[in-house]
Amino acid sequence: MKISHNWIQDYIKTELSPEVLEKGLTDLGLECTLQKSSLSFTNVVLGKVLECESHPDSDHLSICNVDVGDESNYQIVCGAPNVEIDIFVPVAKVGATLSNGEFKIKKAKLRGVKSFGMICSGQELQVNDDVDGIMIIDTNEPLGTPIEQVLNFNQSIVYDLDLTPNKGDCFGHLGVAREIGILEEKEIAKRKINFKESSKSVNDFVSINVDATDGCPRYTARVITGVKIGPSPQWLVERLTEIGQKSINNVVDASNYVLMDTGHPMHTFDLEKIKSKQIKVRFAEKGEKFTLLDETEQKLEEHHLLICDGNNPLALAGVMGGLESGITDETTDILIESAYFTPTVIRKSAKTLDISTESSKRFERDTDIENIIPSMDYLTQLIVELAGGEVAKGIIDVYPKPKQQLEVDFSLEKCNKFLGISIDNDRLQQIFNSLEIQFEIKDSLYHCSIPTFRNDLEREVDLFEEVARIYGYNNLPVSNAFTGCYTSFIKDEHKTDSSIRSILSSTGYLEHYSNSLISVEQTLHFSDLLPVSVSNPLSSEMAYLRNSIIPGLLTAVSYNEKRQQKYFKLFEIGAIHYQADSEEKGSHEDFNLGIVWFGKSQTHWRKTNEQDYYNVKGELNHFFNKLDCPKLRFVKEELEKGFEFSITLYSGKLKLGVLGKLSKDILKNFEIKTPIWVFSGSIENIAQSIATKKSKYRSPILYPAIERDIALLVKKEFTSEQLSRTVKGSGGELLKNVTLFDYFEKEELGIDMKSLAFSLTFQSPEKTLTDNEIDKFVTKILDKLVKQYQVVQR
Amino acid sequence: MSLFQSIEQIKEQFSKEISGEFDFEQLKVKYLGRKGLVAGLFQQMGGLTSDERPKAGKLLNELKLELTSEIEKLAVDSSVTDESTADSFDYTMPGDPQPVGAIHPLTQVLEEIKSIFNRLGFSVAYGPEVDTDFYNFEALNIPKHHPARDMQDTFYVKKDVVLRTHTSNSQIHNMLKHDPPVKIIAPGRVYRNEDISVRSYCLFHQIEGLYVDKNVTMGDLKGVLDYFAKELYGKDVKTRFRPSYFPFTEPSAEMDVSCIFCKGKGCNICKYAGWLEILGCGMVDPEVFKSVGYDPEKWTGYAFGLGIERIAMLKYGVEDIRLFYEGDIRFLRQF
Ligand SMILES: [Zn+2]
Repeated sequence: MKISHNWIQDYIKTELSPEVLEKGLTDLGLECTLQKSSLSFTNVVLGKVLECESHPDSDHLSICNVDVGDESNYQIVCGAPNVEIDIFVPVAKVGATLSNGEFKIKKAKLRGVKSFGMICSGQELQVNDDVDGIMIIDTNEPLGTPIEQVLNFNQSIVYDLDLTPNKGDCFGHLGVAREIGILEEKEIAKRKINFKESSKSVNDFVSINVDATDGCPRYTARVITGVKIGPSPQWLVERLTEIGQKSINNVVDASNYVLMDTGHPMHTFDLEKIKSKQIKVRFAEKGEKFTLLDETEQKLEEHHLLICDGNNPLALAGVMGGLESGITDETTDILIESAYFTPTVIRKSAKTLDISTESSKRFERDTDIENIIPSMDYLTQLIVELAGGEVAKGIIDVYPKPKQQLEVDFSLEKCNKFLGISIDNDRLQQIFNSLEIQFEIKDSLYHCSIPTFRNDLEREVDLFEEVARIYGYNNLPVSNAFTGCYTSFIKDEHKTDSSIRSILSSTGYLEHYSNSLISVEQTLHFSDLLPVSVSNPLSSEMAYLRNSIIPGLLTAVSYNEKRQQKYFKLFEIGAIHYQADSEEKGSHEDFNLGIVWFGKSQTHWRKTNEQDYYNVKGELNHFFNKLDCPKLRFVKEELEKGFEFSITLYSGKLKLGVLGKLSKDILKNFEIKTPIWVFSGSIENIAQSIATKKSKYRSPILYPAIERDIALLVKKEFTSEQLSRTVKGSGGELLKNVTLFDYFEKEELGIDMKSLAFSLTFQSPEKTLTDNEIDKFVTKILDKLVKQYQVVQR
Repeated sequence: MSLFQSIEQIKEQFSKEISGEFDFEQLKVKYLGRKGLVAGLFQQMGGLTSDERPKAGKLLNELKLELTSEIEKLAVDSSVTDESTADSFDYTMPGDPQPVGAIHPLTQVLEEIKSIFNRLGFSVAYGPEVDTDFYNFEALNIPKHHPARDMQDTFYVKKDVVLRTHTSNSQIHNMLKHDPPVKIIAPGRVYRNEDISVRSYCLFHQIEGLYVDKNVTMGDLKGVLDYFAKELYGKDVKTRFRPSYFPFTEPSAEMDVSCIFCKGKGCNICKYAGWLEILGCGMVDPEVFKSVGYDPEKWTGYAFGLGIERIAMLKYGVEDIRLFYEGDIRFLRQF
């Protein structure tokens, strides 16, 4: 909302500088940005053309002798067709600048004739668009007067306010003037209303019937006859232009002007088009059609409020007029509507049609029901002043149930306690006075009557805010201590997240945040969980909440691959959503961890860290060990959706997640060329598995550990895990560790055979083990292996 | 030759051998290997009498220990001679690569903010991203057909189910779950139906604070947030409070900090205002207490909320909000 400094002067002669007011308004909660326009020129003065002759070498140039009030006159060459003697003109002297300093006037020679300055057109001064010739001024000012003074340029000072929805009272110059009055500590002036009414009563022209009193508690109207539609005077055009409004014609401009002034939206109808001479205010019928001023045909609902001619809609109440009933150049008789519409009705009406107008914005935020008639009278006066005509006698005022005065009880003691201040009764009363809040004191309680323009002050706490606002938020003391207690501890359900992040980031993984809104195709790739859809998405690419953590990571992989990245590891922790089995339960939210390994290895002179299955498995092992997830198991189960190879990771019986390689189709879908490894797991299960780990100390064994190596020839169908589990199972409790340290296949061993070598560590907490004892254990182990897997010792 | 003589002989042979050129691995196998010289002597113990055995065993063990320690010393020496001390050793060649990981800048900022409020005794709580109209709006004193709904463009899942537009829904969830006093911060992802641009994204992250207790004043709110700003930006930073409007707080305020770039003098980042807006706050509106069944006559409290992206953009000078969600590793690696 733009507020003009000059306009404000109608209400209050400001003494504070615009900069101080800018800050003051911001401190009062009207976030304000000061916009000052500056002149586009400097050193342009009033001059008079004394002589004017044609240039000997040019058919369009003139050589002028110009008096600008200096000691001597100047010779200026001028190219304008309308230059002649004895005219007053704007003269840019040598050293003057135009176009905001871009153009500097210097001594010049035009076709051999010296020129000391320039006579300007309106366009050159950026005063108007006139390019046909120089500006000719009618004035009595002395020569040499700065042209801005001659032309009476008011520097434009505009306060651009970013209003919060509760500040409906500041949606016009009047309301902002009230706030400035608080800053200036002055009362604001009232508009003087003075116009004559004719002898013919308004009731002779029209009658008003409000059916929908819920939507329209008060409806008032006046009639003006015999107006002449025409252009608006300069002052009105300037005021509207300054705050960004376009001039249309005198009557429409007057209506807009009063809207911007008092903040109350009114509507003007062409009286002739109200054929039945009966205005009716009613709710629309379902499906009723109506064409608005902007030529859109709307299908209405039962909650839309209409202003009708008999039963024929004229306007969508408080939102926009109809195409048929507006003011045209031929209009002579006008009906002015000034009404109070219920905020929620107008809000719903405009919102369901996706319309927002200057009018609807104000009605939604609530208007001042007592300001209806003053606003209408001001508009009436202005129309008569600008367009002539006769005002019919009286006002039609349909106001069946007068609105109750808002009364609020207020305790100063409570207010002081709430805000942490200690103001006295005098200061409080001063604050109330500045807000035009009237009060009576009974039993140390203030019974406050709220002014009708402050519909937002309904409760005691609202008045606390007003006190804080006027007292100054920045003057409220700052407390440095907690008065409260410590009994409100709530356990952090996402504590594991920070351990996960710290382990992964310290081992080379980059954390990613992806857009959790994805396309329907992406919801189908990895999960059969029914995704949650958005009914009003930005685009079909973002119509669903992710039901898997993988798509967001793949999008990032593709992004980076396209930017020539060769090797990286990414992870993301985030919520996935899916629909519950039943409608009432709504949707589920789970937190997932996703990891992706991209690229073979880092380019390096020593080939290390080949990013293959065993490498990735090792890193995951390390990660989960570091997190303290016990009893890790990698199990081959049914192939996961979207994968071409997948291994399920368990901690005991708890499924932590899935590791694997994605299918070629998926990679193609995401435009990824390099094979990648992916892990996707449940944060909840990871956290649960950590919780099962018993962290109890065991003292180190004092006696030496003894190692034995066994090399085995075994059929490929048996896995190393099967063998090592059997080794552990048959080795007894003194077998402390089993490590696979060698593996190879060779044709000489047989096509279906492989060689595995395990290193076994034995240790007793009671004594040093002898070779003999260990031999017995190893024999037992080998016997078992032979029996179960037909191994051959090498 | 007696066993004792053999021991002496092996010792002599060993010292002779290591004074000249030798292959370290071969040496180890020859003396200490399974079929090595020392092992051979242990086997000869079988031929000794039971009187001689303990003494021989002791001597052999001593020999084994002595040779082991000598060989270990040689092992260290030989590796040194083999590699790094050689003149041709190029110590400038790059070491094994360790990929650089990083925690996302938004997480880092969030953790920093969390830890400040943790120190003040705030617990961390959460609310869901998909929520009902009640938690996201109604209970927060934002009725249907209220202009305040325009402040937040909302994604709908269906009638009365929304993607939360702010973390303030966590306030309601936690107050309904716990009796007062409540002292929580609630971080999380929120969604806004806004076109994606340099300055706005369809989602972002917030952290919400809520403190409900007896006799909480607006001075307490200012105190905590002033402390927070100084912890985050340094003790010289100034704070300023401006009246604002949030339906769920009354009074409502915006907190600005003196511009951290120009120290309040005015620069293009603060648009020459000298101040940066960083959070919204206020005293919990009694209507909110009523909707969760707290007695507004008994309890007062304050709430505040700030955007993580906003703080991170200021902190790192990130000018395009989309960088946070693209996953460009050239961006992520810098944090
Ligand atoms: Zn600055």
